[in-house]
Amino acid sequence: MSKTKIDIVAALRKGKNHAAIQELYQSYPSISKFIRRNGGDEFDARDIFQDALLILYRNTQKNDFELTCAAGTYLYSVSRFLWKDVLKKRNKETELSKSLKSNLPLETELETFQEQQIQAKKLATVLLQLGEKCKLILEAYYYQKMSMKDIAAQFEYSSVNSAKTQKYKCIERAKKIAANPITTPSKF
Amino acid sequence: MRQELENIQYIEKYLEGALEFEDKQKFEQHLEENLQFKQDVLLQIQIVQNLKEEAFLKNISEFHHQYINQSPKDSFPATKYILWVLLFALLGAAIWKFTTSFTTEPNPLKPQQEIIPTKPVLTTENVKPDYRARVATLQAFQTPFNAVRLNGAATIRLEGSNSILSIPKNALVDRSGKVIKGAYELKYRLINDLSARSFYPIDMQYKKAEENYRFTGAAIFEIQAFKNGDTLSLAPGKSMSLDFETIKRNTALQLFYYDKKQQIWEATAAAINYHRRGSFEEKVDSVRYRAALADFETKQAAKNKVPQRDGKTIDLGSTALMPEGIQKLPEAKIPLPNQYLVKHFYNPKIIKDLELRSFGAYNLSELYKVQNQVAIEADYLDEKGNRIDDAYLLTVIDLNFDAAYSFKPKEFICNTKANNVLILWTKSGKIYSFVKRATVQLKTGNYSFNMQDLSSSVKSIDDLKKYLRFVRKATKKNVTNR
Repeated sequence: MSKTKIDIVAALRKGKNHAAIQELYQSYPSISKFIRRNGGDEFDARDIFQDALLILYRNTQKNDFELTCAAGTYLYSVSRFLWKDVLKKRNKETELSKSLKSNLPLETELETFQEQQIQAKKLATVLLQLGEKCKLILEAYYYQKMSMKDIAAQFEYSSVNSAKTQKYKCIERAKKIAANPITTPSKF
Repeated sequence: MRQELENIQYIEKYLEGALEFEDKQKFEQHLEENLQFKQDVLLQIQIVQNLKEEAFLKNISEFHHQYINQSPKDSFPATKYILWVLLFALLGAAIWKFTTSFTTEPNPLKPQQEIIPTKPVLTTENVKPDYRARVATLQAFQTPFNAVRLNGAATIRLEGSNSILSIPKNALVDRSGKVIKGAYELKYRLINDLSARSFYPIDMQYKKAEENYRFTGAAIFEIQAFKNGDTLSLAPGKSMSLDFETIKRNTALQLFYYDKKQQIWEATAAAINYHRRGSFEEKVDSVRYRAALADFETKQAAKNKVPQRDGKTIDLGSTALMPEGIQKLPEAKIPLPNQYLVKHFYNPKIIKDLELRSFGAYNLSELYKVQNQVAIEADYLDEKGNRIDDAYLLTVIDLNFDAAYSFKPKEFICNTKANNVLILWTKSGKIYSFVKRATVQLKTGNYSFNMQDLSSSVKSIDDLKKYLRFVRKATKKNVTNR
């Protein structure tokens, strides 16, 4: 496991996701320990930590976001807060929650997170229907931040322009699916 | 590039901050003034965001697995591990002792598949619940849609079946009610196999006079139409006609339509017109009839032709004496159509002329009530005796009634006198099964089920079909032997 500190925000914005995740996972043991000591198990720890990572990722994709503390500290605070919410839902208010009750900024963050999760769930259906190749092209461009030249080479397009057109066609297709979802996989 | 694609490019440039100042101002002004455009921009943002997040979660999930495997000591110290192993061994021995005293019939599939009427408190540490794995697994069990491009009135044979669908002309309208001209896209899927029905996303339940019924022998047909991405519907007063081929003949089939708004199945007025086994209609074999006519005409022509010898006409009519050994052939008779009738046997599995008055989901089934019903509160154990605590969905397949219905895993109902297969899905995308034979009768109450892990062998509908075929055969054999 790498011990070198990297700029997490910059790494996640530039598509160096694997390196960033590797760095961020150094906070996992402490968060896992905290959750297991407060009524949770390994699964809870993993779910909470991954939700905290997702919140951090979403924020880093906003241009105005600045990380004012160490990434580990940020994840720890968010995880504590998320865990408090889980306990509340499970009707297991503990001592832990009392110390966190007046944390307004995190409460707002949690509300936004939950709203975004609902939206993400709706669009997950769209991505399921999009087709593997389209998904890979869009992921390569938006998530891995690959250049269109590299994408054209990797996906064997004759030119950068053909690759670009294909990318736009994929977005067009996703929009159409979103407007007319075919299946009703709500139960799943 | 097309206008739509140019718009997408324009939005992308704005989002990436690549527009010139003037263009950016124009874009923002348009965004404020045009609500449709604003929604389009928002949708594009959401799609890209969702795509990135899905990829990020996938990366996290992969890394987590790698991380846990690399550093087991961080989360599971060795001493603790030994203690757990000892505890598992002790509990395992206790369960074994208990279950050997529990009298059940030997299972034809797997000897260790037993119902344990206790609730041992064991937890799994090695399962990695991942909802993305679950989505991927469930998707492999969904029946895909077939797409076909049509123009105006059409009659098509449905892929993989002898069912025939007919769409009359001027039958499709857009959202504004305008009749569609030119090409359109039709999407449909047929779900007529028990394995595929097990994972159908709509609840297969029907309420009639405050009583709950299930569907048996169901065949599901879904149909939709699109033009340029817009959903189409049937024009008022128009209907499609379907000659539907069922897998199995049931005696009291009805056609049900799924009302999306109310989320209920509704019986349609369509009458089921089943041809009886061996029924047929008689039709003239036109090929043989035409050949016979042609033969007759040739003979007539030959007869009417006056024979000649050395340019002199021979008057056959005046020949009174027939030479010895020569017999006059009978006159050729004109062939009649009824001499060439042949029997056309009907396909007994095709139900003719079902009337479909709108697009959507249809279900051709017989209603039935679950007999000898028991309510079970359940726990599930894997093959090692560990509790499966990330159970997500339970499908109960009633082999006697050819029915499948889903429940939340904690509680379910079933026919205690039937051969049932319980298929359990977990959040980590694993599939387990339990075969409850008719000879093992449950009572309403709490049970723990020792499940068989099918994850490595059942990965698609076809795999499940093979598995159910095997179970059906094995359970029948068992019952016959008794």
